[in-house]
Amino acid sequence: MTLILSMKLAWRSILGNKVRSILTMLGVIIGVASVIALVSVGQGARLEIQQHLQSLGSNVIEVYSQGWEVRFTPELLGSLKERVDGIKHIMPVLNLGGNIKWRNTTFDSQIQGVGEDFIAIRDLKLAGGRGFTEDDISERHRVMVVGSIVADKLFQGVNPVGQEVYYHNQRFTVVGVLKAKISGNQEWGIDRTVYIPYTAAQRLLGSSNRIDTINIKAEGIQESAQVAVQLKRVFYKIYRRPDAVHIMSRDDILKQVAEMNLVMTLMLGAIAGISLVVGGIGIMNIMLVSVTERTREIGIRKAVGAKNSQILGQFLIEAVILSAAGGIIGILLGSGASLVIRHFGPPTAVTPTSIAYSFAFALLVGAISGVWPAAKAAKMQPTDALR
Amino acid sequence: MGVVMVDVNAVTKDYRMGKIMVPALRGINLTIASGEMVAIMGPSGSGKSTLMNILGCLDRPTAGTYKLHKEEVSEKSDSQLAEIRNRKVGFIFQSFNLLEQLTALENVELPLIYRGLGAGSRRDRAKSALVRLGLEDRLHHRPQELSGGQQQRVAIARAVAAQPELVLADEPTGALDSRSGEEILAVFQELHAQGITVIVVTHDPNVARHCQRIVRLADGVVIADDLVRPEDYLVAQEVLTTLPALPEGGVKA
Ligand SMILES: Nc1ncnc2c1ncn2[C@@H]1O[C@H](COP(=O)(O)OP(=O)(O)OP(=O)(O)O)[C@@H](O)[C@H]1O
Ligand SMILES: [Mg+2]
Repeated sequence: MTLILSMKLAWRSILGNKVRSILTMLGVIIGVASVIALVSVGQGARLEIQQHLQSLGSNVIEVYSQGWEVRFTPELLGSLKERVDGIKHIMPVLNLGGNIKWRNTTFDSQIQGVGEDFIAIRDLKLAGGRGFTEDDISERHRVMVVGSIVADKLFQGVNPVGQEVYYHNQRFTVVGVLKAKISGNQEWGIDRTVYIPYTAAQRLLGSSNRIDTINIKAEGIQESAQVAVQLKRVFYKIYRRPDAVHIMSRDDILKQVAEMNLVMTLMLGAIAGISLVVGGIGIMNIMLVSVTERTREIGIRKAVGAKNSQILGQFLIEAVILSAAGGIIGILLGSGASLVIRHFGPPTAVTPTSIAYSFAFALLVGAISGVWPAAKAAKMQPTDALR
Repeated sequence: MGVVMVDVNAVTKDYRMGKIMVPALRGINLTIASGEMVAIMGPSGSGKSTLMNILGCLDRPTAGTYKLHKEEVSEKSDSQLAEIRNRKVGFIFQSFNLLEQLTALENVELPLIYRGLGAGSRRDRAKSALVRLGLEDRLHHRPQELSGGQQQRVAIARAVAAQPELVLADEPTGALDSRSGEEILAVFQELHAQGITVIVVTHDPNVARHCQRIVRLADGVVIADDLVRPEDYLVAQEVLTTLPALPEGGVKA
């Protein structure tokens, strides 16, 4: 019962001196806001990698060229399949961007030129229509398979199969629609992708034999590690240097994610530690001043029978309320900053966990930095305080 | 003499001023019975406030014993002293000592809060104390929105709402005009009539004449202790009738 009243009193003394209260909270505000914003960037990057992992499909190895002389050709793909054991599927990939247009609607999407096995390699499922045939690839047919979000957003209820879509002023026919792979509405990722035969993509680009990446699906998990090793060996034999290609498996990505998490955690720990010290010192400093300023108030309270513990509690609560208010403002500012960052740069995601942690942290800062001033107030002699 | 309320025995109080000790009280002996109304007088610096602080358990004597209602105070812990201040003593100061950021009602509630009383009965008791002091239409005013006399009445309401056995007032009328001061004295006389022990420190002989007994201090010792002669005794309500009325109206005593 005194708790609610102490909170009321504390709140009133905070409102009574708004500028000072804000300055007091500044350290906590900055600390919490920067933690929230930074975590949101980290979380965004992690989500992006996760979605990439999902879009990759299981047991998939990606091979990137690293050098102008390293050219991937259909013949190379054929020979890889023969020279490396454990390859189930292999296909070339070309990444394109831009809008596709249906009737008067345009849609910003990711376009990939792929081989006929892309559905198997990426672990996709058709919701309707068909995938690509051998003919589609060899004859450079302008056909298209669209992701579920593309189907929903662009065609707005019309069955996309059989519809004609323009891309780079070329007419494509939709032959298949994919099932959603990730639930929820993503702003990037696999369900927004549009697939066309890589040969059609090459013709669109004019450079008729460009291949960006090779996707290989291994027979199983065990094989995938062996395939990666063998691939390295084969490419070394061809180019006589170890870094001619970059080979990335799901294991590699997972390792990278773990490393990134560790770095993030250490960085946030450092920021949190600094803001603890800075914010805590700010609160402690102002609280000490406030205890001196409010000597008379303390004396009056003691004269009417406040126990030392009750005075201690009041000032502690005040410190905690200050830091809690600072924490809330910091959370709002940090979330706002994260939105701004997303608007101009990398994807971000504010998670409930980071909000909960940084708020609890702010409360802790308040409690710790309030102890000394509160103890000073509690120890005051009533007659000294009333003089 | 009936039940003893205040029993002060050879009490001394020294203040440390740097390296030297300043004696403020040098062996005070004083006994006050329950229900008495006593004035304490003396020149400035004679130790009146120091004695009042000890009587009100705001401070401890350097030596000697002080029994409040048979309880030896010097043996109590800080927390027990807080309890005594909260329940047994009502302190009234020359400078009112109200909390500026609280309303009149909340100020009066303060001791009841520290007692742990529930919100409902707390509010009722605070309200009726303020009504009794004629402040029913000032419940939600802040101290700076009240006159000095009204502020002192809020302070008295705060003291009496806690239903103390002993009311201590250190120059309660010192900052007030004569009519407001007289109204305060009327309240004290009413408390006295109810059997509450009242001790008033004053420089003003006319204020002292509202009490039954006058204790005089000089240099930290009691130099005189006399009863007020009946012909000198002043009844505040009677004095009030001789003073010009203020438009605000008086106290419902
Ligand atoms: N906290 C203190 N530290 C040092 N000396 C003090 C302290 N309080 C009081 N004194 C000294 O003790 C003596 C008695 O002071 P006290 O306040 O009791 O006098 P008083 O009778 O109330 O005077 P007044 O009529 O001016 O209020 C004075 O000499 C004063 O200077
Ligand atoms: Mg004094």
